[in-house]
Amino acid sequence: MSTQAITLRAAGRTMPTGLVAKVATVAAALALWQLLSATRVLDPDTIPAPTSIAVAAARLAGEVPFWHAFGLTLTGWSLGLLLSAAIAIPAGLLLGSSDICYRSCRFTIDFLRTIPPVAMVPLALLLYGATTQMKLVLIVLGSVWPLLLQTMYGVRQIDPMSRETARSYRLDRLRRTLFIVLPGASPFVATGVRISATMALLLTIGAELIGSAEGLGNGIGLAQSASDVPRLFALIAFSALLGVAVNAFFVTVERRALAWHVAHRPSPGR
Amino acid sequence: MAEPHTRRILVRDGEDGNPAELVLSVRGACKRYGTREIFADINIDVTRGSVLTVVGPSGAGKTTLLRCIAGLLEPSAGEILLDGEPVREPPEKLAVVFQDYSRSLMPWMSVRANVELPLRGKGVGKKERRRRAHAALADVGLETSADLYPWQLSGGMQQRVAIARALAYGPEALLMDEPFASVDAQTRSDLEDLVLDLRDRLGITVVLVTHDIDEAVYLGDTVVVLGGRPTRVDKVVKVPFGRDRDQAGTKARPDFIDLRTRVLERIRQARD
Amino acid sequence: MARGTPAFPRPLSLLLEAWLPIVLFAAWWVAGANSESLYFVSLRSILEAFRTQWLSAGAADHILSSMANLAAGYALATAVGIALGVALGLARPVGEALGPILEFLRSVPGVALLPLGLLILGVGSDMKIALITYGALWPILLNTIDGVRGVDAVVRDVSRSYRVPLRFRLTRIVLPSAGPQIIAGMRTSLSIAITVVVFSEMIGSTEGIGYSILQAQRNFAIPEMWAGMLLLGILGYLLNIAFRGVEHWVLRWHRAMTAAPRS
Repeated sequence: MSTQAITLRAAGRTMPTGLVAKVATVAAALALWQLLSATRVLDPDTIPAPTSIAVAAARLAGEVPFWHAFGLTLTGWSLGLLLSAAIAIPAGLLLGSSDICYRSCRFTIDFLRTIPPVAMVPLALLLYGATTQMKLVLIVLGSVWPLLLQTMYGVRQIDPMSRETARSYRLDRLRRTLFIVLPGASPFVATGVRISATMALLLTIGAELIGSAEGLGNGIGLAQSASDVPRLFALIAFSALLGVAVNAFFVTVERRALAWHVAHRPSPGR
Repeated sequence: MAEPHTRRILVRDGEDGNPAELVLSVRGACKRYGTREIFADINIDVTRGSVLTVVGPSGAGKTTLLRCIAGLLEPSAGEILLDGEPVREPPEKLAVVFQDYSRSLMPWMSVRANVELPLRGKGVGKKERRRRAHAALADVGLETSADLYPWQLSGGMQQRVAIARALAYGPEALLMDEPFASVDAQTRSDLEDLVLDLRDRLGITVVLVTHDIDEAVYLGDTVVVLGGRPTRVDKVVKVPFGRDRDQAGTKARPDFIDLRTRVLERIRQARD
Repeated sequence: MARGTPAFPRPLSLLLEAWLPIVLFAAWWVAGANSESLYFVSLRSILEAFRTQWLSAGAADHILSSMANLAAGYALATAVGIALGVALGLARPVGEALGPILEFLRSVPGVALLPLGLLILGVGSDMKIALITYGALWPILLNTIDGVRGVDAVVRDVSRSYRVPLRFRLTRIVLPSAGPQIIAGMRTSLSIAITVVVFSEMIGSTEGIGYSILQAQRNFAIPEMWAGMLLLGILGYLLNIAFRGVEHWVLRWHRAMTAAPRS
């Protein structure tokens, strides 16, 4: 566990100033794609035009089974993430506060987290079949680690000064944890949540695809077997949008909750 | 240290009435950001081999002015002349020593590599680079620290490295932006004397921005007091102490105290 | 880990790090020995399967195939990610205008692209390498952009006022300055790349470690399935150590600096 924690700055920052440029760039890229499709530079059987993907997407949006699958993916993802957080945050607080715990678990955690969670798909399938439980097991196995490590680093990087301040005012252990350790570590925890959320979404869709559990991933697999390429693209686009939404959601929450932190303060102009 | 130069354009009266050459002059410079005017109609002349200090209340745009002189910013109006030529981009004959030494030195390079960095751009060969870096480090008394990293040195030593880097570049003038603002008092007076010493030994021209009035008077042959809103040159003070200055003696002289009191009052008035 | 590793006497420290793995191993060995469960088999049989399946001549092909794809995809992602990242980080307006597109592409779950990869590139190494590259590209690219943009304003002023030419600016200022962040991105990418390798072998392949694991499960060869997972754990751990070694060397200045007491 050599890694220094990943910095906050990677968060997607949006600036209103370049909005026009951004919209124009997206429009230009789509227009170029459309043009390449229309002139048959891109084979419509493998890469369909944006318009036909849009038609497929509109059709999907009108289907009940699609929304059902969408809901299942969302449920699996959020339950899995919640479960991971419930395990990883307390464990991270403990490992970060106690050097003995940290050193005892270092090797074990290091080893377990390097096993790619997809390697567990066969086992999870054996145990639970194509169910939500199967998804949950995989999601937790994959997304518990980033959150655990980030929480741990977060606790370990807390300025010793704030701990000493807390001790000199004789705050007890519970209050120290609540008022010093948890807030002090929270920027790192927040980054961990974001990484874990992305990981969890990836695993949800992956589990659905390999394990044929109902959800967006399975829909993607079905579209492929049916060779319905526009639908395949539309589904991939929907899952990407879900990813964008998940990330945007956590960035917003993080900004609100951690407005006090340096990384979120408005930078003083030169 | 200064490279040979052929241009001798303007000659004015030097500090002792001797003719002296104008190295740098700011002509009617003015800087605006939108409608906000930082400074207006600044005129400053710097003669060769002299130390010119710029003081002013904080927020007066001293750093902005220095960045304009350094060619890092373009003035909104007016011009900066270096050896008679307008400065449009960072000129080769100027070296800047920035305030924040912990950020201006590259932490991934050794002290020597930091000092050699600007010479690479000039296409100086390896051997010559070594030699010049060594000479510059020796000038600031750090020849034994060449293989260390900047962050292994104290703040004062880091600022010496930054000065050595500037010297190795072989500039005609050294621009210093509050160079000693973040070091302790003892180190500060050592570094002040280093500047005077370098000027005496190498004949280098120095423009130094500071908010410390004692420092401005102690170091400067000329002190430019900025003030007003937008900032203008409030007063130009000639310092009559000559070249022999020392921390204890000079600062105790009645005329030093008198001078610094006058400058302080100007700044106070300018602020109100 | 600059702080918080108080000096334990060496043997004690070793014991502290080793007891949990030993206990877990022993517990599994003992408890698993009489296991009736179909799925949680004894450690002895797993190790036995590991020996016959992975420490034999036939195994090399599977392992090599996985590792070759991993290496190719990861190297490609690193090269493209850093080059493009530096360009977009320096050309700020371009980078910002492309922001939404990059954000969208990055959010495409790598696994969702597998059916598409199969469709376009078919079954084979090309498809796997393309997928690995795609998955591993984003953390490197985005971290590089961020790291390049984050180069200290004072450092930028220094390189401008000392007229440091572009190529030195890139190699001696921009890249080292962004280094820690680039490496952080590469670390994230490595684990993504490993995941995508295994995943792509489970669906579009007849070779590789992922394929072997899924095959074992389909044949109800449970010890072999566990052995495959164990192999992935070991390989992942070794790759991590190798990565750490490279990182240790590349960022030696950074490590020493953060450890040094600041005056």
